[in-house]
Amino acid sequence: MSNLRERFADESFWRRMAALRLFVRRRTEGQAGLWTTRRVGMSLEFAEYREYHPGDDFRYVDWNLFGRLDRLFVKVFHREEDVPIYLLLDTSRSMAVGGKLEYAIELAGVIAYLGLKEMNRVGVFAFARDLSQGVPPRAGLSHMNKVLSFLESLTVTGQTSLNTTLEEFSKLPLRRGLVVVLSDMLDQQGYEQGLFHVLFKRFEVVLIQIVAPSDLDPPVHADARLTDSEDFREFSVGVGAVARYRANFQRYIQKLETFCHEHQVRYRRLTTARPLERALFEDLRGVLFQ
Amino acid sequence: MIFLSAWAFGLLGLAGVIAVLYFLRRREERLTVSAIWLWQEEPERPRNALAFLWTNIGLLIVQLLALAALVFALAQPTLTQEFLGGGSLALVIDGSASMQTHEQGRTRYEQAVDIAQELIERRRPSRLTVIQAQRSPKLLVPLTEDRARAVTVLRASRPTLQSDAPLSAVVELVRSQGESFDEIIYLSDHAPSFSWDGPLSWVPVGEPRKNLAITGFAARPLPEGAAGVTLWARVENFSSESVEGTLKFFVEEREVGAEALRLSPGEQRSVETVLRSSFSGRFRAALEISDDFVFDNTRYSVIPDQPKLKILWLGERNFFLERALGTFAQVQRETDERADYDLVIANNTAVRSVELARVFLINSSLEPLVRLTDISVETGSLTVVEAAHALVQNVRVEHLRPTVLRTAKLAPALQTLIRMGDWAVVAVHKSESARLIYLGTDLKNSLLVLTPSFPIFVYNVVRWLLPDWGFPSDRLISEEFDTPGFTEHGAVNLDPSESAINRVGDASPRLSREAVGAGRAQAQFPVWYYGAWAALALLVTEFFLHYRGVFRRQREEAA
Repeated sequence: MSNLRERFADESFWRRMAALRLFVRRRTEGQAGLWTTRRVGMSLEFAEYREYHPGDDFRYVDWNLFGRLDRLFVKVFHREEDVPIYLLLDTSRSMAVGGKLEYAIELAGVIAYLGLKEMNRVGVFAFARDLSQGVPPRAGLSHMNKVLSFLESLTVTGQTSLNTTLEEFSKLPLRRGLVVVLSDMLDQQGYEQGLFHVLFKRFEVVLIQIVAPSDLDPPVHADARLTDSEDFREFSVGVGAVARYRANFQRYIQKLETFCHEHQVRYRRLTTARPLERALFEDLRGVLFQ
Repeated sequence: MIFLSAWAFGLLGLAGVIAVLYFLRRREERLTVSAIWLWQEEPERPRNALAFLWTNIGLLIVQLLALAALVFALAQPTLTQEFLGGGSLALVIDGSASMQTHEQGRTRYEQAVDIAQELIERRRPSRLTVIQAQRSPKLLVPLTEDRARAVTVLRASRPTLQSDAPLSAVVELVRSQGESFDEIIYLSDHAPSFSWDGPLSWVPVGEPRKNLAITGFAARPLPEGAAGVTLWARVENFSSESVEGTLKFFVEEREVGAEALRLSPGEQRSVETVLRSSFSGRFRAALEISDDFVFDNTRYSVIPDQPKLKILWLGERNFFLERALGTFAQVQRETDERADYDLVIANNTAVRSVELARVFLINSSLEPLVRLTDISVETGSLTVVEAAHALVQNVRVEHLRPTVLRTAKLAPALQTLIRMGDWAVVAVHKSESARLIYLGTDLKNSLLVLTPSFPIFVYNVVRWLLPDWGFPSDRLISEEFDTPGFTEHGAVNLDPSESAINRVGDASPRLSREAVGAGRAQAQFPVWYYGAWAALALLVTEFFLHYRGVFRRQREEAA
């Protein structure tokens, strides 16, 4: 994880990162001051008028409107509140292929930092067969140190079970927020049920699929003996199988993209060959960043 | 099939190198993938034993086959195909004396005839000639297509007691057929003593046999003043075992001596005896022994009476010349030109003309052939123009150098044998009716008469001028004398070289006896290019097999 520390030690990197803003599509609407933990006068954003009901704060009654219409209306503001960010990091053994885990960890570190910098609560969870470990969501940059330590401690282990882990996550007593899934999404059992559970709990889901170049274009130039990275099954293929694999892989990705599109899951696929900064500034704009 | 470059098979050692490199390079390609289930939509590549073998050593097998094909090509494989007939064949069968060696009741020559017949019948040449090779080679069968006749003539032929054939005579006979023979086969009990550029093969005939031989025999009068004759014989054992025998000497069929001998293999021994009673006559040495070659068990020698030589002597007499003539003839000197004479000797005189043109001119003129001038030149170095001429054989040329040479103008008909500068010292003239020798040395002013060469030169002179005059001699069997024994001229003996009946020698190419029976004439067809094409095809196959996956992938991607 030395890359992570080096990355965080590079001030110029963070100066460039300062230009990024997390993109949260769903905002919780409500009366101003109801749930807010932070309110700055001019930062209130007017949303609409609503008829006064007994019990409403008189301070929000629009008296000018009362003068013109002789009816009481209160101003309703968008509520600016922090958005909990939950980073779900796939640590199954398939993430070791092509350095996907290292790439995901670096990406998670950056996202966590940006989230904390914007005064959000950031929690990090690692998963493989189940949701085994994590750092509970906390706010403040001081939390970053704990996040980094956790990320640095991660190693690949076990097989992936996206449905199980996402379902487990959805059952956690967490506030709704932004869920960023960092995974290669390669699970033969599928991912749909797990994502349904998360979406049902009205989490906003960003799915970042990290693949290795060897996943896209396996370096098989002759007859080869393949070993599965997760369950160590072996399978012999001829070089002619590469084309069929690529077709299968493309179909799988297409299906994933379609699912995400249909269920308003923001999706982006990154390869580990893509430089991290270019991925952050180009590929993830409009998906994770504004 | 034969391989002209069998060394190429050493390159098969590269197979080990190729195998090592192959297995170093050909480790099973293993790859860890993220999701093997994305690969498993197609059936797994077969992993049975054959597939495993092919996967692992298939390409190696192809590579080794390519190497083998390449080595095959480099070894220059050549198919040999038997002649079904056709072609021309020259059979040279040794007819020399050693071919009369007996082996189990048959002579070597008879064996050679059998082989020759077998060769003819099996090879069925379209044109054929048969030559019997001995000192005087004989064309037994001129170039013919009639194989049956050739066999008949061969069967009727008999060996001679002559010595081996000279190469030039055999070559001349073969070439005289006007045919470029596809094959020349020499059948003999010893390798050809000559090398011959051409398709010559030697077929050995015969096995080592026992032979004790008299290879030398001479009878010589004792030196002047002592009465008697020395008989000397040389006996050699040519067998591979010790041989015992008795050597006996005869004078006019009367036994005059005997000596028992036991000679180890290769041993040579001289036996000498002195007779006090005989000055001339016919002498014989005989071995009493039972061996396989009988013709060298007897040798002959003659000491004849000295014949008379009538000489018409013109000019000055010369003591030394007369003494030299007296060593081999009873000289009868005539001075009357009308008398009967054999020879004319003119010494320091001018001869007008002579009827019998057998003339030895010594510093004399004979118009118009030789005309002496008044010019004398100082002595100088001599040049031999015709070293092979019989007149100068066994003569040291420098002994003929005159102190002062009186020059002479010679007619073009004279052939100069020895000259000093531009002037002839010795010249000869030979025509159908006349023979003349000119010697430009003044004998009384020359040291020539005191040299050992002088009597030899005189002997040569008389022998050349009078070739038909009866010189006593021992001779070897030749065309003229085909059997050993006594003739009116002297004794005739076998060439001692023929006694060496076991000198097989070595020669290449050599046709074994089995090859004669089993093989026929063989035509050679190079087939190396089959190997080369096979190697190329295998290499291309190996290339495509090696890269077939890549090609298939590119094709699919293009599609």
